[in-house]
Amino acid sequence: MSQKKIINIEIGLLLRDASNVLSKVKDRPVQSLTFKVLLGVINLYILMGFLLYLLVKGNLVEGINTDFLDQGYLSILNTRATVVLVFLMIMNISAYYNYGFKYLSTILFIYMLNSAIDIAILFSDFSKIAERPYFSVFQLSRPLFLICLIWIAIVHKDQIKDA
Amino acid sequence: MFKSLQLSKAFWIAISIVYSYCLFVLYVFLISPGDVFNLEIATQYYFAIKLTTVRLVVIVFGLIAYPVILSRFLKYAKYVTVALTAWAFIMYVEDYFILYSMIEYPEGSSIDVVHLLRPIFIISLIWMCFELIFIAQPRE
Repeated sequence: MSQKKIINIEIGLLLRDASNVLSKVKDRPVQSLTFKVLLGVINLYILMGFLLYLLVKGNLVEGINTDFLDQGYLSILNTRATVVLVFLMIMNISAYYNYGFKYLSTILFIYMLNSAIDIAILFSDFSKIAERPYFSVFQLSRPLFLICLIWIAIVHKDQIKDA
Repeated sequence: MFKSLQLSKAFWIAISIVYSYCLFVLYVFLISPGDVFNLEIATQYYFAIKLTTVRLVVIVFGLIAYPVILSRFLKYAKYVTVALTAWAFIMYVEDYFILYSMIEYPEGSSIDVVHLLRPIFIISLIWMCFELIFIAQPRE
């Protein structure tokens, strides 16, 4: 029993040391599981948004009321979808090289917040949830996305000593 | 209070420009609005004014909170500065390249000056970011 306990302690120590060694591979910290999940959620949200934009552009979404698209929403959506997709690419590259990620997530947070405010102000007359279900789901889940961006900036480890 | 920050004169000049610009914008839109807040204006002007009102509220909060963050939490001041700079830059780009079909600012000499000085305001903010990220270190 005592022998088994000692072996377990030894294995535990070895594993802990191994994880420390792994975390210093190429002088980069290993990010936490929370970070990886959040990055996945952010990627998924933006890619789904881009997909929604492509569906709308190709007239493949049957909305009950699509009048707001004629009021200039489509041109705004066009530019923003492209900008956010490019930003996502830069952010992923930044996460891979572990350089400036916190700043980029902060900038994306501001961009998304600003665009949400703009849309709320400019298209408030057309914001009837039942009349545009696809967009409504996308807009209503925006606060969760913003929380994800702030959260990922907090849990991101810049240096090995943070890991 | 700010001496321990070890920030250069250029930073203080930049922050002075930023504050002067923001106060000038507040003066133009709030204290001497003139025809800016005319109720019988076109839809594009109306949208611009609605947006500006929201932005002015954020500016007021920023003007009040920034000195506190800079003096007490230098570690976070750089993130706040980056966020504010990004916001100012995004607004500038969006107004001219994305929202140009939706909004139009009223014409007037003071509003023209506000638009003319906007790049200088953004450059000052960028300099503040640069200095806080790469140069400024809190004294141990």
